[in-house]
Amino acid sequence: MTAMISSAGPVQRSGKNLSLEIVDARRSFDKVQALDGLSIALAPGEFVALLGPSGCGKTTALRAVAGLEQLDSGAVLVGGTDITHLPPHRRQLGMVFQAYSLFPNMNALDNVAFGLEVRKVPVAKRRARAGELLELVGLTGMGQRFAHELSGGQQQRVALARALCAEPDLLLLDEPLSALDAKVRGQLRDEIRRIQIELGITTLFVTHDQEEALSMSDRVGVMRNGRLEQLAAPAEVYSRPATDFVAQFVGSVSRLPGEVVATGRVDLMGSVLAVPPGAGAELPVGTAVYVLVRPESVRLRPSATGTAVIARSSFLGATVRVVATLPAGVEVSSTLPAAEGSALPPGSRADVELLNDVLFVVPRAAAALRPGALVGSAVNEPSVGQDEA
Amino acid sequence: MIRNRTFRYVTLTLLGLYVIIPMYASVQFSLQSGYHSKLTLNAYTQGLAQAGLGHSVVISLEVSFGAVAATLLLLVPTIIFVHLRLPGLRSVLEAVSLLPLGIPAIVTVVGTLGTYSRAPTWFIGSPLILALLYVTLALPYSYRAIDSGVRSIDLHTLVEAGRSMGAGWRMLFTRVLFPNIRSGILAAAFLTLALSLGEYTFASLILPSTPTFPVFLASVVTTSTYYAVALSVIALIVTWGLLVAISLIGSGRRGSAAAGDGADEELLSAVAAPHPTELVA
Repeated sequence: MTAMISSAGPVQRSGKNLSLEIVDARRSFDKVQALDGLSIALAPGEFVALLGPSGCGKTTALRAVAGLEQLDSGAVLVGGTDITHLPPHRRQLGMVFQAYSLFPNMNALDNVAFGLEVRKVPVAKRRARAGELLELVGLTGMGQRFAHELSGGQQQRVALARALCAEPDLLLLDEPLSALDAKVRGQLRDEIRRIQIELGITTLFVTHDQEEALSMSDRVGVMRNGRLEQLAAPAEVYSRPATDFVAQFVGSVSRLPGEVVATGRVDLMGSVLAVPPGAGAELPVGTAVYVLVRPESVRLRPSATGTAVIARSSFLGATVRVVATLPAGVEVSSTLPAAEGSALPPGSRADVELLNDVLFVVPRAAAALRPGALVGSAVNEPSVGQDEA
Repeated sequence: MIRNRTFRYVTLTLLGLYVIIPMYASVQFSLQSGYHSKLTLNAYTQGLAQAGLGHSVVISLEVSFGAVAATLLLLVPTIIFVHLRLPGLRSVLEAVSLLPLGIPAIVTVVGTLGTYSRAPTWFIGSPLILALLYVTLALPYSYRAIDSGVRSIDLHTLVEAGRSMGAGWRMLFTRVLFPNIRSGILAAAFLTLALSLGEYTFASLILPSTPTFPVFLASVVTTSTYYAVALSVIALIVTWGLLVAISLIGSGRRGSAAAGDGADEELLSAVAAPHPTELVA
């Protein structure tokens, strides 16, 4: 460990590039099954985000890797070595927490050097290394500041430097950005990813923020009820969701009533559309369904005889999110360039056109049986800038 | 605004007079030997020359520092453990810590002597039992001081951060937890020390043959009230000196804003702790 620590020069790559595997992990709290057979594997140097609603088990999974939660059954392997029963302080992990976790009695430099102090690295060496890490996270010259003298973003940068200082086998990020304001969050998001790539450290990142998960990760794991619904590259999770839950949880969708008219084809407002394989294409003919479509797949064109009535619109900068009401009372959402959106004031009429394939098709009967799903507004709000913390 | 300021000054003045007038009277009484002679340090020199003073001070210090050590060794790990692992027991601990306030001293003494009647004499007749009794006597104050210190930090996150970086429990205590709840620990130590140094009832009933300083002071009253008051003034100054020393140590910590506020309030509350001389009187 200490052999890797240099007294000067750029921060060295960890060089460990270890894999992480969680195998059939189960953990329950009283009657709640937080992890229900979760299995996931991270390749060496990979950045994977676990995304899901509150209570889906993503934080429990991360804490189980860190050793802060014990599994009822299952295993955690790092680089092929079973660490399931190791106490947290013997796992060689770096972790950044959601809450500000700097030790108030130490300045930034000593905070960063703490992991090396634990390992009895000489003072001069560990301070030199801590200085390098502070430089890496853009806090050169701020080593003498205490936590209460740093902003929230700076504290999380120090926490990141501290997590990396002892060259851990893995980096675990437990919603480290959720307490920060939107602008700082965006900056730090980019920096975390840059540093992760630079060091090549295998990273597990837990978040409820879709934008963070999609923009930072090599792969995104969407969790629900203690299980993985889908683990895939961000673009695939977004455009080819494995389940209707993923389709509705990641990004925004409109849920429009339709009917299966042939294998792999649905009728939506008089138009027959293709359903991609695995997205409900196997449903029998005649099934009443909800057709899920992304806002960017829906085009609204101003038309005095159009079937849709513009209900409201939201200005998002380069684009406008326009919500229109269809004759059946169902709402459909469309993302349009700002110039096109401004031509659709509330109360005006528009024609509806579907640009791409449908995202997913789900039987209406099944949707009605699932509490909280496919009920209420037909439109999910955009994830941009959301902060549920 | 002006009314608020006036109210503040009046309150502080009255409070100051409440504290200063008896102290001034004690000092004048001891220096003038009863307000009718010229100023002299005779009461002080004679008081300090009383046989048995040194031994009683040593016994008192042994008992008091023993009580402080036992209090900290018992309470700090217990409170941290309960906060981390058994948060549901916090209300139970709080209730238990208040019990000494509701039990008369004589009941505690009789109960203790009855319970330990078959205990070896090296225990029942030694300052050790007194130190343990003072742990319970100070519990309502020491528990709150430490608990307040622990509540003022994000204990779970700090412990988990330290553990994830490889720190064992000993390292966590010495480098992370203790420095961040130091004010609470110091306040608990001072409160226990002040109570133990000034306690009379337990000491006179349990250790009649080995007088502590307050018991010795009570016996000096029968010789000369002036000497006793002079010794009380000295005890007062020493105790205040301890408070100032602890305050300086507590405020000497850098970067204390995040962790120390609640605990510092506890330390300030120690100013209002019963003073040895009050308990003796």
